[in-house]
Amino acid sequence: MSELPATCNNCLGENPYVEMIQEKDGRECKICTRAFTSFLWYPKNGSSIFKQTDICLTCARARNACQSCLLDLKFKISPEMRDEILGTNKGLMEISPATISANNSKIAKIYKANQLERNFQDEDFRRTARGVLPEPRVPQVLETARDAVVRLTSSTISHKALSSTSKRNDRKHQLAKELSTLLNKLPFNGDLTIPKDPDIKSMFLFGITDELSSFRVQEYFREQFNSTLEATILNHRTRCGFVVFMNRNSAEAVAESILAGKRPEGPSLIVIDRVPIRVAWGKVCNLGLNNKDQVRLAQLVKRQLSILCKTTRIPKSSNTIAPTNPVTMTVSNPFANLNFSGTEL
Amino acid sequence: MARRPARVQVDPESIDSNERPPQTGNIFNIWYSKWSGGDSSDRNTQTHSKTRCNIERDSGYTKADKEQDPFFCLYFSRGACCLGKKCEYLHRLPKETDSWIPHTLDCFGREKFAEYRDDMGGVGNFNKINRTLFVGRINEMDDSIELKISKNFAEWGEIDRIRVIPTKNIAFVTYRNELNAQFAKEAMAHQSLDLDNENEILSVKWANEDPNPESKAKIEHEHNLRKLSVAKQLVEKLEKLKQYESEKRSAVTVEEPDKIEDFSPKRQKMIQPSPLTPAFFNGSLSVLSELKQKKAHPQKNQTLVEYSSDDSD
Repeated sequence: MSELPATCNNCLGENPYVEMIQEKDGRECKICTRAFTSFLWYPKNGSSIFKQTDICLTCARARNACQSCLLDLKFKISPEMRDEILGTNKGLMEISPATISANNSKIAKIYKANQLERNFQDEDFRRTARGVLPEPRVPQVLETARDAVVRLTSSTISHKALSSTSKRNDRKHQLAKELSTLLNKLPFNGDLTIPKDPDIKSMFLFGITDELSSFRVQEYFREQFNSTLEATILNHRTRCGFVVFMNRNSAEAVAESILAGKRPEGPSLIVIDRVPIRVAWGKVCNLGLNNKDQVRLAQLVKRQLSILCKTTRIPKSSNTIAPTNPVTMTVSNPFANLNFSGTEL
Repeated sequence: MARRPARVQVDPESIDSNERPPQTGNIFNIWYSKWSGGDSSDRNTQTHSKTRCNIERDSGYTKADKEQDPFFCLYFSRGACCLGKKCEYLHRLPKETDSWIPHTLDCFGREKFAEYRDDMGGVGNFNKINRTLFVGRINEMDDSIELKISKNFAEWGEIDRIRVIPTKNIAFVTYRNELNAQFAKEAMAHQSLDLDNENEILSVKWANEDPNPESKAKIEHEHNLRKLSVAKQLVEKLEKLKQYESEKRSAVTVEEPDKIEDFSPKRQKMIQPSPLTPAFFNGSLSVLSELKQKKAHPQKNQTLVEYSSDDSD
């Protein structure tokens, strides 16, 4: 009896007369490590890129996945995602495909796969006697998918709210005197008046949150001030970092446009993705050597931010800070996400 | 950027195919160009890479740009492709739009596995999207280490975050895109942070999951976001499917009367089963037996001759 691979249309390509090379026990299944009849084909005529089956038919069937791309045959998403979203594959069989995990020993994997194969054979035997079971209708699946979207949307929003307001037990680490040495190094009270030292071409940022990515900072400086950064150093644990400019001139230009003609009163404020960040000139230096120091520095940053928040008055229309960024336009109070009452410390 | 051909990174004349690395084992494997057997202390067997890719200088178009689903050049990422524009693989950095690469392969077209190697090296794992690299064997941890790592690794793509652990001489670099992490892993392996510092041979591997509860929550959040986007796409797809199915159904009901008009009313009666009776109801059997009779005696009824010829089509 000739076998056929279980593959999705994407993998097969457009050619309806696709030619395949079959090899009995040609490859080792990547999931259960058993030998299986492998297939190899070229999805595009004249192209040197080929596709082949990576997992055996039993493992593919247990996941309802394509043997080549390992995605679900019908929805073209990974089977794990499909199970999580649609809640399928639960209680379908005694030995679920998830039990063949990477942690299993080779013997266990082979044993489980053989067991699965036997289950399938039994199932096939029963099905031929009883007739084919109906597939779930599209409207039903759509309904569950819609429910999943609603559920996930609410859960992701609640997480975001939690992460921005949840405060770890900060008071566990008492502020120590060693901080003063770190404080002296870092320009927490600096500003954007052009420094005398001509070697400085970097700015010190503090107040970054854990969600802020390096590439976002680079994008921000590219979009807002049209300047490419040589490097960004963000230390998320200490909530501060540096941006290094290509040259002194571009750094000065950026400083001028951040100040926008106003006199600097302490570190200036920029808003990236609704995160208020303070900027001042500063030389690059090492931010905290061990975990303890990093936690202390983070606390210091927090305190400094709250002090700045109290002393500098933010005009009601904070649009003047970053007039062109659509994200900041919608935020009336940039400190809305961060809960600095100042009295906590 | 202007279109220009890819630079030939290494002079083809200078390549000695019989060149072997300094002997560190008993048996030489000509396929992998590696020594095996003997005392295989990892530290002794690694040698500093002779070449290094420079994206600004080296990238350009190759034969692969005309192909539909090309992969990236592994030799290019190591800075040692001697083919230049004749290479059949891409000579540029992976971008976010390069989505044709299936998740069972890496950006160089090499197959991934179901699990990581024990030392977390190699091509990687198709069960997990890993954007984080482990960088080990950093020689010096001076004040500018963060800057150095940031500069060196930013060459290979947009960086999400970097975490340096000075007490252990290691660092973790997270890229925005998984393909860039794969590219950077090859590009930075056996390199050094300072140019041509032969004493420093970086070991770049895949990172394990961060056990820190905060970052675990972050990873879970990211996973949920991905799940949400997949679910949204799924809903869109299913809605299209539903629409398509209902269109198919309505199209059938619309087309039917048009076709039936062409047929003679007698035939229409015969093939249309009533909703209560199965397709082959007893009436059709009686009609068939009647037809047989009419065929045997064709002269008897003129109208039924026409009828039988119509049926035999």
